Amino acid sequence: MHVPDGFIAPQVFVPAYGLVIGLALYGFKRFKENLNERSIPYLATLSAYAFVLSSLSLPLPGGTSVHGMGFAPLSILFGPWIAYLCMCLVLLLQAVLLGHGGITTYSVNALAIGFVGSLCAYGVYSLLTKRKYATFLSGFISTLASALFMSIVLGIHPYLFTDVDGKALYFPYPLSITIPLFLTSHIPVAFVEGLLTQAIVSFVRRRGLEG
Amino acid sequence: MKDRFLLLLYMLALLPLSSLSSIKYLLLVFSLLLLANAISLGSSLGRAIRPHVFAFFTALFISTPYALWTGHYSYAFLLTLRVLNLTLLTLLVLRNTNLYLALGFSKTLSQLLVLTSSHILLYRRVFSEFKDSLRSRSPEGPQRRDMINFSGSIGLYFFDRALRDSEEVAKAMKSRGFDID
Repeated sequence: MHVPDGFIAPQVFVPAYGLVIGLALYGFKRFKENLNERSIPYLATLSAYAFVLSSLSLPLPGGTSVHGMGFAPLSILFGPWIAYLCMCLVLLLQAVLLGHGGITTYSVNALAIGFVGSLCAYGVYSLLTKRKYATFLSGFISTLASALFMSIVLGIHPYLFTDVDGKALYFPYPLSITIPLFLTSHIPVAFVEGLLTQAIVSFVRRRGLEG
Repeated sequence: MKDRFLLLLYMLALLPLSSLSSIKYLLLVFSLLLLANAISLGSSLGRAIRPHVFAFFTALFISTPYALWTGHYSYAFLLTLRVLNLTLLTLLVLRNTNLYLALGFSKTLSQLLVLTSSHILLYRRVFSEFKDSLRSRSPEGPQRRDMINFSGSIGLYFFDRALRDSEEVAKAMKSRGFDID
């Protein structure tokens, strides 16, 4: 789902950067309040897991790409704000080390994957906490929510940014293409993400540590 | 300080670079950035640009159907050039910036960055070793069941090893006076 550089207009990514930084400052405050020496290694491991999972991407026709994201275990175990901060770090490393995503699109990627995804994962898990499949559904629904957010951000570009001939200047496909394409292509990804979330959260809990 | 300044300058430069929509200016910027990268990276330019090839192909993959569908053929050229320019600028800045110093405004964040990036390097190396070993054991190509078993075992191995390594690295950092904030 990472959007590479060049597809997002400055009129979108600059305000998004402001939002990302503001949220990151708040997240950082929560991060310092809630973490201890023992949880940092777990956090680093889960962040690296998220990195690996979201590095394995498949290109999409007419869209960008699909891949797992790995924010749900972070969000369930450490809370949405810490998960958001970790995902910001992971996306930054991916943009500079692997060229997955870009620096101009980093803010939108961070909002979709880091913020919307983490918050949704935590919200779903909190709502269904007594249910058997709460962890699975948290991973499943949050992945789709993240994809939906990204499809909306990309899909509004052709309505807002065109030249006098009607030629798109940034992302070219409208909402009628991006929303169905992103949601349908992410259903199998969300299913795998749900299963992985269930497995990872159980594994970490068996090892006896939570944030 | 120099690293943070360069990073800030880079962020500011992204704004005009991503706003450009004239192919003439984009070509001019492309030539300048290519020259600057060639001077800075020399013979390692090809190796440095390899991880970013994905972005270039994604740009082509997305822009070409639109260009063919609408007849706006210059769109594919515009988008590809913009992606190339942004990639070349990123390479140039990364070559001359220490990301760990630029982002090291908090010890806790630095510790997390060091631990995470060390895992990433480990994951990437061990993953390619695992993949090669699976290929060498399956002369006719791995079956779906092999792939599922392989993915499960590799996932558990990575996770367990990374947890143990993280704990050790965190202790090592602490013993060298790197306390978290």
